[in-house]
Amino acid sequence: MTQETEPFDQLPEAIVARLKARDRGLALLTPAVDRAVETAAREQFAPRRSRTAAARGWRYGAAAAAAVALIAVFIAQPFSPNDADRRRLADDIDDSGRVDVLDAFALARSRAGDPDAVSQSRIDALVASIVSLGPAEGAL
Amino acid sequence: MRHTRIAALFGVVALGLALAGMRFALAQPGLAAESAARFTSSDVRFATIDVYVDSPEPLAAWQFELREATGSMAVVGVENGESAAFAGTPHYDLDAVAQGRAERIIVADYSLGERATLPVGRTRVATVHVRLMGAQAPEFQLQLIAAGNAAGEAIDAAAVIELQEGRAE
Repeated sequence: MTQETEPFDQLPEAIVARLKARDRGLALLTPAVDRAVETAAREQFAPRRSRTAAARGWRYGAAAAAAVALIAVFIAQPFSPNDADRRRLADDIDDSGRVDVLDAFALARSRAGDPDAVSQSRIDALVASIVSLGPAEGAL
Repeated sequence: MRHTRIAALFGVVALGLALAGMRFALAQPGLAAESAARFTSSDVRFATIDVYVDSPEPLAAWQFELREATGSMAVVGVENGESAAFAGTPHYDLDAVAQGRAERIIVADYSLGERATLPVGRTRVATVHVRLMGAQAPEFQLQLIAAGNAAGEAIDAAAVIELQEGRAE
């Protein structure tokens, strides 16, 4: 008695016959069929998988570049007035749209009328900034 | 996938370097010392430039900028003009002149003196002492940035220069 037939010996004949009939209906997957299916599946899905991976890679790159650009804009703040702009606006005493000696002159006239209105050092600093040629090369 | 991520990383680094490079390039000042080094000592001479302002009404404040188009000028000093209303040394970038990097100069002054003491008409407001380098004729450019009356109002004045050639070095 083999292991295959052993369980059937204890079953009624009718059941054994039906079970054997069902076994004959099962599809047999031989190694050759298995390899063929595997090869076909690889051919079908391999290009799609690489395209998906490439697209995902580009998305990562674009997201990283956008993040760097956002950080750069956040640091540089090109659209908001910087300290120099704010200082320049504050120094435009006569509202002429630019800072020149007439602004320093306006401060000096104000001080001549009321010495507490503005300090001489403020006037001197403004005149110095007006005639400044900019920092020396390498200066901080 | 791995190669794509590496490429993206390089892209981000390259973008960062490009941004940093742009900031560095924009921050560079003029190369005054380089232009001075182009000339031999025999090409160097000194001159004075008188700057006149012609004002239709009493002049209380003025500001001008003097440049030289060929890059052969270095300002070595500035002195006041002829009017008693502007008796002191006018304002200019003394550090830049002392450091020999004044290829241009901005000069300004104002007077709180009485209106009657302020100059009217053509007045020498400053004299600029310069060192000129090279054999070619200098091309001076004068811009009157501002001129004002005693009330601090802008006035329609004009400015001219007169060159006095000096000794050669």
